[in-house]
Amino acid sequence: MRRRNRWLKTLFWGSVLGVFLALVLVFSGVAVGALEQREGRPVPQPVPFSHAFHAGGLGLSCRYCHSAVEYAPYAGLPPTETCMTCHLYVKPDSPNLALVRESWEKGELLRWNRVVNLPDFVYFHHAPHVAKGVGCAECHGRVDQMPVVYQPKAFTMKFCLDCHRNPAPRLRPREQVFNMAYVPDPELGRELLQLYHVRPPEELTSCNTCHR
Amino acid sequence: MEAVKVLTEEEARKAQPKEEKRVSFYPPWPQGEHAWAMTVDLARCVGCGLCVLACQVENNIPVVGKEEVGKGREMHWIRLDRYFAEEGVFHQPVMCQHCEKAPCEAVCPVAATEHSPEGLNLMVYNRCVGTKYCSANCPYKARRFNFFPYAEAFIGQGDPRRAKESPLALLMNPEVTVRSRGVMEKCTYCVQRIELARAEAAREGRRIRTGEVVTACQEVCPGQAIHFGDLLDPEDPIHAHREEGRHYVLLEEVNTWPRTTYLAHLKNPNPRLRKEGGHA
Amino acid sequence: MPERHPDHDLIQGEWTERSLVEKLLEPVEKPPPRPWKVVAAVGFVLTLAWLYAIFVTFTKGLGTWGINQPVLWGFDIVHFVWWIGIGHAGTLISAILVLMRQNWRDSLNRITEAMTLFAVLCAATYPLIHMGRAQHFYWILPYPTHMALWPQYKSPLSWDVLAIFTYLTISTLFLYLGLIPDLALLRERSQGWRKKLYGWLSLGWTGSALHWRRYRAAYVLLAGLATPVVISVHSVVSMDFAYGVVPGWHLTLFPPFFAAGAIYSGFAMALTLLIPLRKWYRLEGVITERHLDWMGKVTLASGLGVAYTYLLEIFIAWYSAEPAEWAQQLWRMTGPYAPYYWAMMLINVVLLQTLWFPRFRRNVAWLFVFSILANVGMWLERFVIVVISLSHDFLPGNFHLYSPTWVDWTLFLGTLGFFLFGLAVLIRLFPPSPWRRCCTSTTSLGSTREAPCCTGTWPTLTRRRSF
Repeated sequence: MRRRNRWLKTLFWGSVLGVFLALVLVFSGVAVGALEQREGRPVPQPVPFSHAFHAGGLGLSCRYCHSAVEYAPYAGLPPTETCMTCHLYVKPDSPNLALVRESWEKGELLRWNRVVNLPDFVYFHHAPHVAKGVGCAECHGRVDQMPVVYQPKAFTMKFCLDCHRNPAPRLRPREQVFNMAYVPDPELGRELLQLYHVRPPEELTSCNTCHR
Repeated sequence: MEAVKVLTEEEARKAQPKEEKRVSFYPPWPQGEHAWAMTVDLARCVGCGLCVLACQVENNIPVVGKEEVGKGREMHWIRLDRYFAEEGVFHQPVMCQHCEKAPCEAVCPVAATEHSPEGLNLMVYNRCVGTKYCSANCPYKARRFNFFPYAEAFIGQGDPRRAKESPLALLMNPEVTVRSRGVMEKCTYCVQRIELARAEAAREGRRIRTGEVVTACQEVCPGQAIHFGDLLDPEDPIHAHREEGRHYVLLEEVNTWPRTTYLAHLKNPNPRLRKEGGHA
Repeated sequence: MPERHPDHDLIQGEWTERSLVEKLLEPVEKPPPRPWKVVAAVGFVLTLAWLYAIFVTFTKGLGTWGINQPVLWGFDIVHFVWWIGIGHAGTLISAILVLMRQNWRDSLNRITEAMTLFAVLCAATYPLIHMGRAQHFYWILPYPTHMALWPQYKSPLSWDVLAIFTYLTISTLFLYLGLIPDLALLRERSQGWRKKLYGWLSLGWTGSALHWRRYRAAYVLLAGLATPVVISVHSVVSMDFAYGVVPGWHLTLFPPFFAAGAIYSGFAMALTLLIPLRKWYRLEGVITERHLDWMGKVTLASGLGVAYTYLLEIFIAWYSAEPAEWAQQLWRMTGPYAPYYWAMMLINVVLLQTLWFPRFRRNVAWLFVFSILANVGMWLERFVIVVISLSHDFLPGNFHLYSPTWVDWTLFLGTLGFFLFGLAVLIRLFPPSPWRRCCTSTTSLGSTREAPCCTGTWPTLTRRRSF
């Protein structure tokens, strides 16, 4: 066949294949999945606070610092006083804690860098989640093993909907909510749905649950 | 088609609440724990406009200015319609009726307005792309569109990009999204109050109590004309309102099955006044 | 003595193959006449103004338009529907007339297909720019998202997306397919970059018998696929209104009403374009008065459908005993917008009747004037439907009039400019009528006609063969 026509044939079938591949790429959800698996990077902080040491090694409870989690929408950050309850006596001269001491002496805020910052149109409330048996580790990962905190799964709407559409496998008894090592039991989760009056998926995925 | 009904005392006593004829091809919506509804008693409404103001404060409704209002772009989620009849002037607060068969829900191409299992017609600002079909389809014209970045520009002193830095942001209710340009908004039955009540109840391991959720308009009405309640709660006074003879639905013929219903205005004029030829 | 052109019964004058081809390639090969330059210049300037108006809309917001509560759909949707309606003539001529073996469509299909393409392009801009948050327009498309949300398919606007995309694809394909033999001819006759361009675009067309056979199969297949589009696209657009509860919109007769209106306005715009074109390029022999007469008949037929619907609308509003519906009709007739309503009735019902009489229908000047009036009449109809219905719906407290701003007008004139400019460019690049006529048209009155340019006629095509 003529060279020009062979060229044209290649071009034509090549574009057909290209369009087909593009459609497959978009509609297979590859573009969606990639977003979810994206792990957050560790967020550097002004003070090298290690959750792995304090929460993991020492066994400090989450609520010792993030005390608002049971009744407020936010979990809260601790005032410098909380740090100083120990560090007035423990390693009082450590250079790592210089900023903490400075904050304590001057009465100024310690400016931590946010790891999780949801958009303004998302209204997340920690209290009902804690009350209904959603563990800290479910969403935030094994913080007790993180020297520098990072967000293990991107908080896309799909992440929230995956649980809201099927909460049972992710529920744990209230006593275990702050136990990061606990692995949820789907059987028990189904019972907890009834016990903790967790609403069915149609209600949990109603837009007003998160958007006002 | 009567928007505002006026009854005399005998008529009101004798009237039976009309059986709402509910005919639909479609299955009903899934029902949640509550069925929120509202009644507005027109006999108690004096047209003071405090509901309009309270709604504006509660929901971060922007002030658009004289020029925009002149073009017909006011942003009040609740408005007071005035009807001039021979019996006098009648005020009717009209807000989103939260129709069970909402014409607006079916026409949004991006599902920005959805029906909640508790009977609310939800408006999701972050999903709205601004096609404005919902408002065209609303028979009550209860929806409001942000033609300009009214709220954002206000907080940013004219520049929406500076909204985040401004101390005027403290003016806003943090529980309600501040809407950007091109987004549709409307009465939400103060959904932020409902959700906060629900979070409190979840924390305390109980159900939402009767009368725990009070909408902004209900809260400030001096005549207590607006009542917001739960149809699934047997103790809620809303049942008594809906069984009154004065009870009616606005634009019933459009078959929207609204959750907000009205109680007809009661007129009991002194017969001597009528004989003297004055207005009752 | 060179042979007479096989289509001598359709075209006027003494033509041979060669002389007809030379004539048809004149707009491309010879310098353009003065009117072309005027149209192209005006179109270009208006296109720039259009782009500026779009820029203002995007940067300042929809508040720069005249829309308000309750008239949230104003000129944007009026013009959207107007342009989509205009496009339908091209598809009808391209598709339905081929399948109906109406050979006279051959003179017209190039211009009308080009008209359709640019009309649809103009129309498609409106749904994009009328969105409050146009940066998220892709949320209307169905694709898996990180929000785990899909569009709401119950909405006619979702259907619109599919309809317009389909329409755009089909129109472009039809135009392109029809162009291929012409492009090959231009390739043979040109040099340099033009030869390269036409060469690429003509996809290696050689004019062999095999190519012609495949071409006719493809053309007829595309015509078959495009035929439902003629009815469906404007029906889907009409559902934007029929789906709504607004008095004046909520009528099941909207889909056929809009389809008839589309054909009517499309043919009117085709006449508006073809009559000056044939004069300026001296193509009276190819686009003859008989062609214009036929087009006038189609305009009359579809216009009668439209006129019938107007009268039926009034009857239905009264018969329904719906107070809001009847109030809307009365307001249209007696309210502040009454002049627009009555102008529309005058043009689309009264003046339309002149097309019954050959004295008017065959008068090219009257046909031109009427075609412009018909376009205005259809514009007024969309204005009545969109704006007037919205400004007077159920509750009196919501009634409000609509007044367009300079942005609204500039957007409209800009689309007109873009339309004219695009057509002007297209005329300069491609001949106004396909030169190999006999091979797309089939037979007349059942007799097969052997033409020198192609082997195989309709019976051959219908015999089972593998292509």
